[in-house]
Amino acid sequence: MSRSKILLVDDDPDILETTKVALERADYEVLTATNGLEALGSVRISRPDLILLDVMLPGENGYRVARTIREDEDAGVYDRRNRIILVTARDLSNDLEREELFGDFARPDRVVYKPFELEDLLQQIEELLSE
Amino acid sequence: MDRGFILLRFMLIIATSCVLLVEIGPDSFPPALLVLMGVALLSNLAFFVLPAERLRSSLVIGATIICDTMWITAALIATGKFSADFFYLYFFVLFLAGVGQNIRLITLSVVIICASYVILIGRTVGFDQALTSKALIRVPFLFTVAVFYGYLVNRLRGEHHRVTKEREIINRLERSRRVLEEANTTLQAEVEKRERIEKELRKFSRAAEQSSNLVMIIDDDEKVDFVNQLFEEISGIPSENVVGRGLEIFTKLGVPGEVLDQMVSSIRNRSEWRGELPLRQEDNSELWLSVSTSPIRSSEEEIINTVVIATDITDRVKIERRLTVANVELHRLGEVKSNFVSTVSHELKSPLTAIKNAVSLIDPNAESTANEKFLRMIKRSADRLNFIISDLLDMQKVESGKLTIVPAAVHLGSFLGEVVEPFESQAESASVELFLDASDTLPEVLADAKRIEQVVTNLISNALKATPKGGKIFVSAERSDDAVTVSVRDTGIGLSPEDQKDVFDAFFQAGNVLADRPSGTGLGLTICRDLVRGHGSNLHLESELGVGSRFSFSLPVVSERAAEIIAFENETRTKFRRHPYFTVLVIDFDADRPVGNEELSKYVFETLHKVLHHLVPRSLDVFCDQPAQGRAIVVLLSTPREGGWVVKRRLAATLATNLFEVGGRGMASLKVLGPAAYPEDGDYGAGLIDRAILVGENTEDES
Repeated sequence: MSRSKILLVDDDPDILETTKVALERADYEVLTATNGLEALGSVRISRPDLILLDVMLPGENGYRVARTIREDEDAGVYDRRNRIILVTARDLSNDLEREELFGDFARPDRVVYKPFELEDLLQQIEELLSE
Repeated sequence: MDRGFILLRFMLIIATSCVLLVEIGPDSFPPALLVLMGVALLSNLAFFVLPAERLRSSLVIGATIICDTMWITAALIATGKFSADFFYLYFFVLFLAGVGQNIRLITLSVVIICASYVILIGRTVGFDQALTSKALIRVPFLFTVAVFYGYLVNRLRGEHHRVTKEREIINRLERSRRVLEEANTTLQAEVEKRERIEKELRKFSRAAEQSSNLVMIIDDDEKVDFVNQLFEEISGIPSENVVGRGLEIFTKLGVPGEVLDQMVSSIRNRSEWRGELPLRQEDNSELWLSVSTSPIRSSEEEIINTVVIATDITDRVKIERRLTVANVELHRLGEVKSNFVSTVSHELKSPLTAIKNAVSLIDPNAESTANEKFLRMIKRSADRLNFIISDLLDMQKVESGKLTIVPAAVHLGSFLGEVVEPFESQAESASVELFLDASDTLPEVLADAKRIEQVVTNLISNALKATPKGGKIFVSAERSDDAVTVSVRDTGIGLSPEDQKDVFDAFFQAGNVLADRPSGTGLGLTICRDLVRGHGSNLHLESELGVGSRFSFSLPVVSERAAEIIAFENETRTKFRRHPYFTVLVIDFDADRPVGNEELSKYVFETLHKVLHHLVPRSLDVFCDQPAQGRAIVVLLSTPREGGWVVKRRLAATLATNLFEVGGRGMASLKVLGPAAYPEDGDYGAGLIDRAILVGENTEDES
């Protein structure tokens, strides 16, 4: 069985770097992107098994990236459903954000809140990939 | 009773005496009779003395009649010389006198009787004898008796008659008086009632006339019957043009259709109605009225007219509108704040995530070089956290007015060099050219170096974020008159006119977080602006989308006077460390209201600001209601005039109370800079600064 491919999207270089090291140590193949458009391009070309998507991104934010991916799925661009984990540091007291996060808008598979434990993140990824 | 009575009685007594003397003869005249006659004479003399009213009473007359009759009769009988004939005659005379109605008739009858008696005697003894007879003396006696009694009885009757008549008249008068009295009482009651009604009427008509509401009375024929003074004043239509007119008058007042129709139909239907309607005034401003119409019923439940009362609620409506606007603004602020919290939490959690990740990746068994990368990462993120927290704290300080600015002479040439240097490597890695143009020959300026460094650093860091590869950033300082302008210009993305308006608002970036990735907390520019304001200057922005932005501000050149001020300020600041700000109220009595001459007030304020940092401008209301917590200065731009007395009085009260300790938080002192501070001979600043320094010195004395 080949290694699972994970696309890591975050604009913070430190978070990107450390998470990448952690995933590689867990024997995943890691692709990175630092903004929404880059991430969308990477999803279409490289077809990762799982997308770890930060919400606060320059240009297209994480919600919209996730939504675009889902709309493409509905349009039949992909031959399978993408696994998406949204990563956010924002507080969810804001109704609008809750709606965007859990409603039809982004439809992520999981949500992980910053700051997260790397072990916890790895466990979530493993669970989702084995589904 | 009068003299006639007394005379007649004398005559009676004399006549009786004569009769008795003649019959008895003077020799054998009994002394008892003499005494009796003497008493009679004396009593008659006493009548002379007695007051006339006493004699007139029936009691006296009656007593006299009875007494006289008794003693005369007794005397006559006692002599024993008189025959029965004489007594018949005597009593007959008495009887005649008693029943006689008229004194003349009595006299006439007695004359006839006497004549008959004389004739009778003449017949028996012969007329010659008769005329000389002793018996003839009895004729005048009888005559006197008849006249006396006749007179008395007549008098008595007359008296009785008079008394009866009088009594009758009195009774009649009494009756008339009573009738009159009754009529008077009724009339009085009527008058009182009318007065009361009139008073009541006057009261209501005055109340309507002088009411602070507009009052209109519409009669049963739907014609205006009355409007009060205020109606005339507010509508601007004299009452004679309204009274007598129909309901169409309302359309003339500029009331809009639908509400007016409701009101008019309620007046037509004689029903109660309440509503609010705007009148358009001559100057096109709106006058809002709260109107109520109520039908007035008579005591017979019949509707007699309709009263329309309107209250001016323009102020209330205005306040309501302002509240609505304020509410919307508050709501917006709430959203902005909520976004801000999200953004800040993101800003804080990102470096925290990096730190946690790095910590968990450090392998204690690995070589130190392998871990070094993660350790650097931890330090960098910790620095970033610290930076963000400092920003937040600065913002908090600025918002609560606790930010202190300690100015000193700063040499901008070398100062800017030091500030720009750390950015050179950063600019290089971002492929942006960074230029510094600050001559060493620039004069020293008055500034708080630490704060200005914060401002310039923030502006350069913003410029770096906004400038793409190959762009340029210019940091420069140029002299203009007695100030030096510091500017940071970039060739970056620029700002749209709308964004330029909001760019200094706190949380501005936070508000647009989903559209573009924010860099920092969005507080940087707000803090910069407030720091520059703390220096008595303004942070200016010129920008064009796609071309670039230029931020600039000016700092005052240190003059000889400014050097003095710095010395003074630094001295007072240590003395008043707990109250490092002044409250300033600028009042221009010429304009008759606080801060009237805006330009001049602004100038005064700014001038003072340069001298005494952290001035808090106050309106008169706030100033008087919330006593200053620190030192306060009141600047009067002109002498108070008559019109300014209210301001003067309130000010005096505040000054009187606030020269004492305020809230136990240290000495607050207030000084009035009088007209002396008013600019003279074109020297605006010097006078003010002198006065301000004086305030500081005086404050010291008082504390």
